[in-house]
Amino acid sequence: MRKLFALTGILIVAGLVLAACAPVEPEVVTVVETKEVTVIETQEVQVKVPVSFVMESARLEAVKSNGKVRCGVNSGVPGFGFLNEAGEFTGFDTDFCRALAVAIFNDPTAVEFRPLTAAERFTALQTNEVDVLIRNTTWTFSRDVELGTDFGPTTFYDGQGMMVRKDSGFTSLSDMGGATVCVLSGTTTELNLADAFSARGLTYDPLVFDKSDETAVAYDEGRCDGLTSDKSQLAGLRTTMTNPADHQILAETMSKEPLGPVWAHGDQQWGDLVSWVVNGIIIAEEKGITSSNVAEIAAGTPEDPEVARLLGLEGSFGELLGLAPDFMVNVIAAVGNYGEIYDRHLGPEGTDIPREGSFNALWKDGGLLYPPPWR
Amino acid sequence: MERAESSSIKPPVTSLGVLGWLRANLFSSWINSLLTILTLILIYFFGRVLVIWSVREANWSAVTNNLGVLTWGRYPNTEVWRLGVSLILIVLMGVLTWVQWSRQENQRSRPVLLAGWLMMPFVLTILIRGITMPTFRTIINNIGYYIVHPDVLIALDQTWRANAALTLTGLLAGASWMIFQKRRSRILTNVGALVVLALMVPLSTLSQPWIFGLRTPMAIPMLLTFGLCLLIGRAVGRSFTNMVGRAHVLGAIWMISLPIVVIVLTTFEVGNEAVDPVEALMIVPPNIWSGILLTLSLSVVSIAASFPIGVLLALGRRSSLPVVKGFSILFIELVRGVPLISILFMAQVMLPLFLPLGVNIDRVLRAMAGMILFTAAYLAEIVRGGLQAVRNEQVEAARALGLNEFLVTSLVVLPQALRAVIPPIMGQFVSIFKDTSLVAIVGLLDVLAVGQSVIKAREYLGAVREIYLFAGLFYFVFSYAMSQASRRLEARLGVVESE
Repeated sequence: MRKLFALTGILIVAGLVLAACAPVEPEVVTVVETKEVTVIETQEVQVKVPVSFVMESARLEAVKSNGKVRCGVNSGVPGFGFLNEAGEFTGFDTDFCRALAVAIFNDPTAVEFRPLTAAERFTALQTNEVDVLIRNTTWTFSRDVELGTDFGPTTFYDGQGMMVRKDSGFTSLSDMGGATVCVLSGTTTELNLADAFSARGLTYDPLVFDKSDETAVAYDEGRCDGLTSDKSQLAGLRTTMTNPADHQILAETMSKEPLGPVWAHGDQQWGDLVSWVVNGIIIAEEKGITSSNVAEIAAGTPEDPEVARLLGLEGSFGELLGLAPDFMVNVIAAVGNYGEIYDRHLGPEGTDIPREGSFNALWKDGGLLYPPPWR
Repeated sequence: MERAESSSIKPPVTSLGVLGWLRANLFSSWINSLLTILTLILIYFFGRVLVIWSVREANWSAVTNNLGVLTWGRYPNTEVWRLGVSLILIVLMGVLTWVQWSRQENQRSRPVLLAGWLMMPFVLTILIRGITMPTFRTIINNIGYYIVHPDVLIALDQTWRANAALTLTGLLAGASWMIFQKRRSRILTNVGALVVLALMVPLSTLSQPWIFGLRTPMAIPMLLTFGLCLLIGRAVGRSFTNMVGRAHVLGAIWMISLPIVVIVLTTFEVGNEAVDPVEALMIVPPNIWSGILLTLSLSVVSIAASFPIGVLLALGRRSSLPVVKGFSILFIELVRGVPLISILFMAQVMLPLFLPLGVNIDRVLRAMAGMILFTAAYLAEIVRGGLQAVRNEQVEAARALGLNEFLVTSLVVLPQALRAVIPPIMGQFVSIFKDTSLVAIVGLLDVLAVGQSVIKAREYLGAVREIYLFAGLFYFVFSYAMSQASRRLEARLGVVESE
C-alpha cells in the first residue's frame, strides 16, 4: 500500500512538472485564440436569440458544425422509408435526405436519420430535433400556417385511391354503392371516404381496422369489396396479396396529398437550399442528366445554358446557397435524378407505382412536376 | 431415482413409466379422458394448420435474412463485435457466478464476483456506447490550460470540471483524515488534494456568475464546494472507523479515483485534433440503438435502476418525516395515475418543448428515464406490501439488540419484506420487459418496430405473421426465463417448497 502511495505521489508530482512546462506556448496559444472567438459566437447564437429568429440563416452553419443533416423519416412505408437488411434506411424519402447530405458535405452518409411517428414529427421540427422532415407529410394550410412549418417542392403527388378485385365488375367509385370497404381508423382516409361516397349519393359499409397490415389481410381474405388508402400505399399492399394480378387500383382520386420536405419556419436560406436541391434533381431528369453521365457532361461544355448553370459551370448558384459551385454534380452522381430515384424505389423493381400518366410524371409527359427554371 | 432391484417384485404398472404417467394424469376418469381427447383433437387441427403454414407458405427468409437487423438494428456493422464481447462478458460472469454460488465452501470469491457485477454497468456502457479518452498529449495540454489559460475553460463552459474534481478529492481527503493512521499515507493524500487545489488557483482568480447570477471570483464557490465535501468526507470516514481493512478499501478508492480525476479534468475539446480527446471506442449514441439491443438495454436499465428507487420510495412512504413521506406519496400516486404510454409521450414530445433550445437529451435516455420512474412507482407499492407483512415484533427485537434504525431496516426488515414479494416484483419486471415494445409508438425502433420496418422491403412485404411469430417467440423466451429464475430464487430462499 505504502509503495503504491509513494508511486502515485511521484506520478502526481511528475505530472505536475510535465504539465507546468508542457503547454508548448506557440501551439497552445494559437489554438486558444482561434477557438475562443468561434465558440463564443455559436453559443450565443444557440442560447440567447429568441426562438423565431434562431434559424435565421444559422441552420446551415449549425448543420455544418454538426457534420450531419438530421433528417426526420418514416420507418415503415414500403418504397418510402424502411430498414433494409444491412440496418440502413432506404426509400424514396430517405434518398432526398441523402441528396441534402451530398449537397452540403459531398457525403451521402452524413445523415442522421431520426425515425419519427406521425404524432411527434412536427414537435421534432419545432424543438430543433431535426433539420428537415421528409416523411410522407401532406402539405396542408393548417400545417403550413398554424404549425410554424414551411413546405418545399412536392416530391410525390399522392392521393387516396380504391383497390378492388378485377372480377368484381367495379370500374369506378360510382359502381360501388352498398359495397363493404376496408379502411384504417381515425385517419383522414376515413373522412375522405365518407365525403367521396356521400358526394356521389351512395352508401357503403366501412370495415375499420387499426393497422394497415390488418386492412390488407382482411381485404385479401375477401371480407370487403374494396380497400382504400393512399395510392402509394395501395401499390405496396397489392404486392402482399395472394395473387397481385387479380386486383386493380381505380383511377379516381378521393383526396389530394402532395408530399414533400418540411422545415421549421424562420430560416428562408435553409428552405431555399432544400427546395433547390429538390428542384435540381427534377431539372436533371428534364435535361436527361443521370448519375452515369453527369461527370461526362460536367467535364465537357454543355450546349444547354441551363445545364451549364445547374452543374455549376456558369454563374455562382452554389455560392448563393452557401454550397460548393458544383454541388448538383455530386448530388446527381450520388443519388441520381428524380426518375432514377423513383425507379429505384417506386418503379417495377420497387413497390411498382405506375408513373406514366400519373401526376408524378414530368410536365412534358403530362404530369405535375414543373420545376422553376435554374436561372 | 429408485430402481427395481428384484425381478420378483415389480412396481405397479400404473404408477411408473410413460403409460403410468399418462394413466395417472390424462386418463384418470372418463371425464378426464374425454377432455384429453377433445384437447388432442383441437391441438391437432390448430397444430396442423400451423405446421403446414410454417413449412409450405411462410416466407421465413424475412426473419432469417434480417436476423442481424432485428438483433442490433442500426448499430454500425463494423462495431458489432463490441456487442459480441459484451454478451460473452455477461455469459462469462453468469457462469462464474453460477459455479461459485452453488459451491458453499468457496466463500472467498464472492466479494470479487460482487465487485465484478457492480462494475458491469460501467464496462457495458463503455463497450456499447463507446468512449472518448484523452491521450497523454491531451492531458498535458489541457492541464496546461488550467495553469496558463484558465479563461479558456470559462469560454468553453468547462468550469464544472474543476468543481467535480474538487468534490471528489474533497470527499476522499476528508475520509482519509479520519481513516488513515499512518503519517505517510496522510501526507500523500494531502499532497494529492493540494495538487488539485493548486491547479485551480489561476482559475479561482477569475470571476464568473455562479448563483443567482452573482459574479464573484471562482475562489468562493470552489472553496465552498471543497470545504463542504471535506466535512462530508470526514463524517462518512468517522462512521466507518470500526470497519476492518478500511484503510485498504480507501487506498483502493484513491487508486481508482486519481485517474478519474485526471479524466474529468482533461476530457474537453478545444478544437485542435492533435490535442483533443480521441475516440478510443467509436461513440454509438443510444439514439441509434435499435432491435433486440434496444429492447434488452431498455428493460435491463429500467429493471436495475427502478429497483433501488422503488425500495427507497417504499421506505419513504412509511417514513415519519413529513417531507419525505409527502414526496413519496405524491410521486407514487402521480405516476401510478398515468398510463406508461402517456409518460413516454411526455418524455418524447412534451419534454423537448420545456428544454432550452439546443439542449437535446438523447431520445433513448428519455424513454429509459420514463420507464424507470414508472416501474419504480409500481415497485414501491409492491415493496410497501412486503414491508407491511414484516411483523412489528421483528423491529422491536432488532431494536432491543441495540441496532440503529439503518441496520434495523437493512438487516432485519428489508430482507424479510423483499423475500415475501419476490413473485409480484418479478411479475412487474416481466411486465416492464414486455412494455418496452410501447416505445415503438414514440418512434424508437425496438425489436417489434424493426420487425415492422424490415417487412416493408419489397421482397418481404406481407411477411407480417413470420415477424410477429419471431417477436412473440423472443418475448416468450425471455419472459419465461425470468419467471423460471424467480421460481429458483424463491426456492433457494425457502419461500416455497423446492420442486
